[in-house]
Amino acid sequence: MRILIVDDSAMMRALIKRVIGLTELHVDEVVEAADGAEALRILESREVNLLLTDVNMPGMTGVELLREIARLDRWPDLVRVIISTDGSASRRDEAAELDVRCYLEKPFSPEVLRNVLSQAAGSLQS
Amino acid sequence: MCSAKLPDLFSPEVTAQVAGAIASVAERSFYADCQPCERARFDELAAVGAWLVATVNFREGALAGTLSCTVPHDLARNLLDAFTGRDPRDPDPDREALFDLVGELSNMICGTWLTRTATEQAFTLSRPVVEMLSGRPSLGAADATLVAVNDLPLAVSVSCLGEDAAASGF
Repeated sequence: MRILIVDDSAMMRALIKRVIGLTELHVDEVVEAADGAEALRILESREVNLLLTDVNMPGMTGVELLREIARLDRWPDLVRVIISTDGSASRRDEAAELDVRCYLEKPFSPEVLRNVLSQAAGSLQS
Repeated sequence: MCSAKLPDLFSPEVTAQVAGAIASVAERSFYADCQPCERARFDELAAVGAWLVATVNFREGALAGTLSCTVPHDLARNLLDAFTGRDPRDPDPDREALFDLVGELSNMICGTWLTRTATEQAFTLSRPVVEMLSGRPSLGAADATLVAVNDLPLAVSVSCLGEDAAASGF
């Protein structure tokens, strides 16, 4: 499994990467991007199975990234997960329309993130 | 004019909501203990070295405002260790790591508070701006929520920029 983490905070990317390392998931590669535009360039250049993205980021936001992924329709099997401080109902509805499989609200405990990763990995296999 | 949604940012109710958001973030993401703190106790605890302040702008429908999170350097380092699993005996983390940590802390507090306080509307947060203060922070008499996290002081202030600011962006 190849995972792409998109967050403008290097600290948050490091935390997510550390939690991924604590799971029993078979992970081939973890790639990082600091905003949506960088994430899109990565998606165009290599295979990614699981996308974990923040929402509020400078430049291209997480929602703009997900809209662009939907518009391009080139990664139908990509499992999309949002990790955001915005837990509002309208943001969650928006995410559902953008084919987001899991929505994880910050702050989260590593255990919750681990469960979300397992759930996301499960949907990759099914 | 501020939206009717947050009529009084200095009300006890809002202060309690902000304190609840700080506690959630401290406990869930940093495994830290967070307790309410009276002004006198805060002033006692505040006699510690350097301070950092992170400011994040928010926009939620017709409402726009700013949340500032003020923490001593020692607390920032303490939270960084908890967040990253860093060994506290390691050499001091670099400035960039501490700034990123305090920015993310302010971002999570603001997002948690807005999610709990506001309606079901989505909101936008700016990238936090983090600065090192040259001396002790000058917190207004009534406009800050004061807590002690792991027995170190932390203050959060919220101000409303009004609907015009929301309409024109930050």
